[in-house]
Amino acid sequence: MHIAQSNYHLAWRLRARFAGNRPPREYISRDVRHADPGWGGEVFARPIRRLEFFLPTGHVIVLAGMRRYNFFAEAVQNLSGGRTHVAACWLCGHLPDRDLVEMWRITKGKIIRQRKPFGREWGGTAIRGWKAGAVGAAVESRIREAA
Amino acid sequence: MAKPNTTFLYNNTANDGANSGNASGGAGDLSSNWVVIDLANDKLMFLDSQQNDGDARTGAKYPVIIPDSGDLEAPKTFVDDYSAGVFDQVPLAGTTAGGQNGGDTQYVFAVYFDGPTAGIPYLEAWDDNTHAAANDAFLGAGTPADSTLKAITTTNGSPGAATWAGTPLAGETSRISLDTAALAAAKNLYFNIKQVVPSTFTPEENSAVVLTLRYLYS
Repeated sequence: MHIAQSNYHLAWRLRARFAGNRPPREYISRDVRHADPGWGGEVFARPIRRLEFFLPTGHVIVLAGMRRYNFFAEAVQNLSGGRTHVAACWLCGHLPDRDLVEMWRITKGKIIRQRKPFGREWGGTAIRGWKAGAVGAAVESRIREAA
Repeated sequence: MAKPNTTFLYNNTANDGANSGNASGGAGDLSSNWVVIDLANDKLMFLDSQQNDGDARTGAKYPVIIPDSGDLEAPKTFVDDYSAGVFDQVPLAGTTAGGQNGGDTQYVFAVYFDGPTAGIPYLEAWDDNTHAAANDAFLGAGTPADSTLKAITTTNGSPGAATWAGTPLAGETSRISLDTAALAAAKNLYFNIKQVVPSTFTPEENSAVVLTLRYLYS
């Protein structure tokens, strides 16, 4: 992934906002370009109300109202050498009323939105690392300018 | 599910045994021997039968000869072992149509993951390390089915045939998954690979084809 520079302090970070009013009310990842996102190792006590991924352009990809959420990095390693690098990041939400997954792929200056059947998201097979969502809120899957 | 470390290895014996040394390689099952590939310096090479195991990497190099008719599987497969200074043969690579000990064997090349992944790992081939295109003549010149590189996953069993066809490798369009599901724990993934050159083939002069491992973590 070509790394865009930005002064935007949340750029390349993931934010999960939890249901309810008890702290902690949100989780913010490290910069996913340079460090493990941390998503896979986190155990959240409460379901996620909204998941956001911040772009260096000042935009944010928002998923809300989903049954489950997921986030992962796509890495590539060449047999010809060089270090492993992040080719893309993925933000996923399992729709509450259909067995489909909203998937946002952020890669090389492009953002691609697609839908895949739940359990067949990656090459026709399941991805791991889903975390529970708080259903009932309005379903949202869009890019907007960050506040 | 932090980013796992990966290690590429090959079995430099004709003994079809698993890599029990994981990231370190070394002596494996059934008297196999696993060598870690130095990704910065070593190269996978498909060469003619005139090339011998242990030949100096600075000496004569015998490329595959394009056949007069039909297709030719590269007779021998080597790793250009930079640190040892030799062409180290991979005797079990390819099929019985090649010129070594390949066939219905399972443990030839390995990728060791030291932790879980979020999705199935893939092995791909690209024009170069930017992964922008897979149109090199060696990768089918835009027709993935014509790629000269053909691979098969053997993680969960041998190919089932000594003359396995394999999947032509060309970008994300034509690639092999190295297992049937995301990895739940550290694991060795196995594959075999061959090069098949048709009589109609015209190679590129400045080819920089790379094999690429693609995987997910969170």
